[in-house]
Amino acid sequence: MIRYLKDNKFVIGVLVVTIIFSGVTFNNLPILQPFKSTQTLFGVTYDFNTYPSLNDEQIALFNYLRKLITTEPVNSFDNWNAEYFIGFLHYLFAFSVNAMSGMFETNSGYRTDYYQETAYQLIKKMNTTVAEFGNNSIEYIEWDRTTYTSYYWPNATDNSTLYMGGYRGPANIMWTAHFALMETLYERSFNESIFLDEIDSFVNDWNNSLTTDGYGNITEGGIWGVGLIPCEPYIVFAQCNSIAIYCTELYDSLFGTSYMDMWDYGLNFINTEMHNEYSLFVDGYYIQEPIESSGGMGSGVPSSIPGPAVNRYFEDGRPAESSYSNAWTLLMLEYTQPLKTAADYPVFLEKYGVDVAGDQMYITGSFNNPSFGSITDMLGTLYSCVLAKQRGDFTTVQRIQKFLYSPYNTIWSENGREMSYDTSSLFDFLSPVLAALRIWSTTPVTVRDLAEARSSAFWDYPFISQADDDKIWVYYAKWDPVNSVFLLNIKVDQTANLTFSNFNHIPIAYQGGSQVSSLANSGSDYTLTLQPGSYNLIVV
Amino acid sequence: MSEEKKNKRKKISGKFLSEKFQINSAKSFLITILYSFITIGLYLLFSLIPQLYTVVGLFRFGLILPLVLIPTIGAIRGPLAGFITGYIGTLLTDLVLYRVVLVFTIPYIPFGLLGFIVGFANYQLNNGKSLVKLAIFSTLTFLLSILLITVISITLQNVSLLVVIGFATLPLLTMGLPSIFLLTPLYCRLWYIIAYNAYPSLLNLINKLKSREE
Repeated sequence: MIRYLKDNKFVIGVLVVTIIFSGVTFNNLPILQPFKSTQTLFGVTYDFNTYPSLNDEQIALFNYLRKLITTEPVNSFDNWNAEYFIGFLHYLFAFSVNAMSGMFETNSGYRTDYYQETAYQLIKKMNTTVAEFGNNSIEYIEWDRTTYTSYYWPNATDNSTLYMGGYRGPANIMWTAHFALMETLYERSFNESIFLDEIDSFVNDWNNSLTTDGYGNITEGGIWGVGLIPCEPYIVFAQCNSIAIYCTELYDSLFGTSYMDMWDYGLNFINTEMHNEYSLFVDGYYIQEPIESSGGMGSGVPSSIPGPAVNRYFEDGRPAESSYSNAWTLLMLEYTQPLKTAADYPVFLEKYGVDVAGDQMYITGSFNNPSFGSITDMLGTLYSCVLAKQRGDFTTVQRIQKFLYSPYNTIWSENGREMSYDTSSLFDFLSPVLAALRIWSTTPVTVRDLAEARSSAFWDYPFISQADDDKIWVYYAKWDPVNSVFLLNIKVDQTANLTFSNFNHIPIAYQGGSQVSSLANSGSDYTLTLQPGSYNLIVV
Repeated sequence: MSEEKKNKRKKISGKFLSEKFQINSAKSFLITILYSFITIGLYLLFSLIPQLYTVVGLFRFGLILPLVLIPTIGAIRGPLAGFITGYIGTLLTDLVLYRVVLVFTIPYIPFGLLGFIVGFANYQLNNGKSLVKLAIFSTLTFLLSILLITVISITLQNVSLLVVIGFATLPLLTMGLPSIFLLTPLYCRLWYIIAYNAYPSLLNLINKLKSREE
């Protein structure tokens, strides 16, 4: 034995070092997928492997975000470490609702406070006003810090013309569209009818801006003549308007209206005038001479107005372009113009995609100024990930995610219910951003899917209305209207109760063809008690 | 130098190269190609294993299991097998797993060179000192590969300098180098045990069983 060790001391030494070295690399283990089985009940086969479900990682990331959102007052933003990114924080709130709505849809039969309260708090945070909260408000961050508050149309400084300032519009489509969409997605997910009046007012205001001169006279192209609404009062962006267009699609689907017609002129405008030589969108179009601050991120003022924003780094007047603008617009408009997104997506990847290695790529902020390190580079990479998922291009999703996430360790809370990314080596604000993005780019529901309302019959289906949310992991919870059964894939950490509503008889939960439990009656609802373990339940 | 000596030297050097490349006979050539493609298959399989790593500040540490197959096959079967495995293995993996082939396949050449250069030296895989030589030589060769990868990324792939340093050069230094240094001798020794101990023993056992049956 000793002789063997002597003869092989180098190999044994290397083996020991390798084992020690490998031992310290186990903190980023891949997440195991939930337990899924195939079951037959009363002659019908239910294959849980085929149901698009959530996984532990997505739920743990949601728990992390939920904690950030619900453990601070609506007018506090301390949990987010966004000191240097304060102008972006409320758009993280807005896009988080988009991301989370995919989870809400995956588990459409799980509608407890767990999801609902999180979405509601985000909406409340987005709508904090100066009147109520002073400088600790999104109104202050979004609008009052800027020079946009006094703006008029068509003469920016003539206060006898049409007033363009104001946090809630008419020329702040960036905030109004995001906020209206947050509310509309909330109503789509939870059908509470608490935001309907507000959503109506926004949609009507957009209709007024897009189809009249602002004074009530019908005008083609609306107030600004381009069929679009500005963010800063002097410039329109395809990406910001795409949120409002998408919101209008969902609004029409929810309420059977036909407001989408008001966007015809604007859609044509962004597909023609706001296009560059590659048929990709330009990053901004000036409708008015700006006073003081000029343009959005990277956009320069053109020599003649109206006209497309120009690239600040070249003197030849080439239009401004950015990957984030294109990825975002293609993503949000795919439901409205699927052929254009399908045709533009490969061009987009060709112009902006940069291969770091076979397994990694990033999206450069601008193909005219290729780089990586700026906010626009990062935004382009983030939105492209979600766009790629929507296009079914999972290889690109995988490659971008490897680029985005591999530099960070994952951190799990002590109770094992929350997960986040340790981005402290760069900046802490990236952690919630990456958490929301991971959910958005990996859940089995796309932005396009969410543009359509649920059927009216849906709201009569049985669902989980209350639960011990902090003791369970719900991977799939949905009513199957064809077979009239509730399908539930769940893991239980500690004994937990789940209350079902809308059953008109005492339901029974089955697993593997055998009865797990009959549900206890509590008023008009029924409660299921589950012991710790993993379940694929069919509740009949 | 006489014409005869020159011819002799040419013959010797030609013989040396064909032996070194393990292509001195049709059979040898075929075995070299076979070894290369088996290793390419292994490279693909190893690439499917999720990579474990840990991050300390800006540095990522871990072991890149497939990468080590390249100097290993170079050491076992010579430069040609090393080059084929490094070049085609990385190329094929990108094509199969990520549906991408990087600029005219040039970025895969440094991986081919890794196997090629390592394959030029002679190693005794049952000898500790020789394995030390292999570990050091592979590591130095891989440093050259990293240099080439860095240059190719910046020039041909147009990757931003910051990204190249953070996402290519640094990870190759902190994960690739330890992988090559630690695992190449281990892979080679494992190969030696299988090829020269386990496999002959297995053949012996099978022959004994056969003769008993007869």
